[in-house]
Amino acid sequence: MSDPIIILGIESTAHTFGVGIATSDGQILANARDIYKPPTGGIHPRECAKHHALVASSVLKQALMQSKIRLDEIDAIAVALGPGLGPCLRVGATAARTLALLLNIPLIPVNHGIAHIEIAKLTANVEDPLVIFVSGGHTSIMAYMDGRYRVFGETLDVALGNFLDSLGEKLGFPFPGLINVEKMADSGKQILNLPYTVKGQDLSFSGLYTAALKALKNGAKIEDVCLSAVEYSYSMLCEVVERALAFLEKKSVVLTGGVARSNRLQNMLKIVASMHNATFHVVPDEYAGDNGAMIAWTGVLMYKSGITIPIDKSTVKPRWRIDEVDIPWMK
Amino acid sequence: MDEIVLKIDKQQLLKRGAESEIWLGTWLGLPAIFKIRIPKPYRHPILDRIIRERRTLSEARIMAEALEININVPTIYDIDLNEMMIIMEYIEGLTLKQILENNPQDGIKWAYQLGIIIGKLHKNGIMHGDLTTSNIIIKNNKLYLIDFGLAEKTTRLEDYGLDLHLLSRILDSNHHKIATSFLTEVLKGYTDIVGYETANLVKEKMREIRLRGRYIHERRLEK
Repeated sequence: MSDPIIILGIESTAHTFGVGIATSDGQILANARDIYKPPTGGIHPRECAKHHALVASSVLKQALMQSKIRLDEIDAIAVALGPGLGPCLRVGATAARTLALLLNIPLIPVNHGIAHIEIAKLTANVEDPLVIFVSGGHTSIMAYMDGRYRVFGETLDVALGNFLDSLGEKLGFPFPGLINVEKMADSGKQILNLPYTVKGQDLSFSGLYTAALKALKNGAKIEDVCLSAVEYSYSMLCEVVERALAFLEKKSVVLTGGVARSNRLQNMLKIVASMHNATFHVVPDEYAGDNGAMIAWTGVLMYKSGITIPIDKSTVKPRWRIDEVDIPWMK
Repeated sequence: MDEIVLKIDKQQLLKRGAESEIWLGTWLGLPAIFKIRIPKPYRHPILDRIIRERRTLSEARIMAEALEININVPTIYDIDLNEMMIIMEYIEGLTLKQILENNPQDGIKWAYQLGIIIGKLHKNGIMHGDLTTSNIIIKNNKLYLIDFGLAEKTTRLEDYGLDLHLLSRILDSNHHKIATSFLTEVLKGYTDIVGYETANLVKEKMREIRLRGRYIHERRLEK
């Protein structure tokens, strides 16, 4: 048996700088990261990029130590070129280019969203699922069709994670606010009258956000505002998932991205999946948030399909859509 | 005889959809459709009632508005917010789908008028949301629109484009041979109501939606 291919992947699309190492037999050998925590409020791209540049070499060292792999054993460098925040993306891209040039090995351009899908498929061991990708920056319901992951529903404005994080911030919770909003929701009793916005297959959270804050100002209990925000937004997502399942008749559902850690959302989607006779899978915690391992694993799939990029073409793509990427390894 | 008993005399389940059940029965002796929105077990029970109540009311309100602008829709007999049920007139006729399957040339005659009706809806800020050929019924030489379950009040051109896009998809997949000529006639009628400028903007939206290839019509689960 020939030696497995070994790929090192770099993630830096938002607040996480991550380095992972994956092999062609589906092993994750390392998953190191350092997450930028803003002193107040959300992410400031430039401050975040500064953080990434500072931690890059130590995270890389950590990944190499975890994996017990030497740099010269690595076959190619994978990097998330987008979508994400420009200044942050450029730190990861620069590190990746440097490594590829130094080691004289190919560079692989990975789409960050595709990586969230592929790591979830690997860990759930499913071939062709309906994918729910929810995080601070993304809210999409996707499935593979005719060579690409097609988006069957997505947010028209802010992402689900961003909606709950921003609400948490306004309520004075530390970043990321989502966890605290959910915790507070546990002691909520009343469901408030707020907008529920599903447009065809798409979702919108901005009206819900404004109305939730308005309710708070008008004297609603903070617990009830949190309960309502969580229940409304998750129900909206579940409805779109249900529509996609009814149409596509997929036999499995995977939940991926940072918001995948939510127990309430997991429980709701479990019911939705069972109503449509589909199995339900959640990406493990360590691969839910942004991470380098998912970039490395997607790099493996792309490398096997012969996809690499010349250094001088490897510019970052802050608005790179998932449905623009060809997926030859699914055929 | 108790009136309540008469009111809930549902006899035959016609369709079980993702969101509702459609029953045929009688209401005060008249043949009637009973549309009941079913609870979703994954939703918080209070939120579940809020959503079903809002949608039941919104569907009834939009149907009433459509009637006001002289579009033929089933007359609403009663609304029951305990059962989340709309009781409405049963339109007994052939669906456009049946007509197009059996006699396409006869079906095409309705295309221009359908365009007029869609134009009137959009001009009044109503998106039907589910314009399939089975939701169009011909009865006594009159064209009826049914199932406003996904209808919305909206001013977004994108939503109007989506309405027409869904229709064109259904034509392409179910009535392929006459799809192009049928849609051309629909757009003629549509343009005559909304005007060239709006019609062109909406057609551009249709094109965008088609190129994105991501709006896929929800087929209700028929069991």
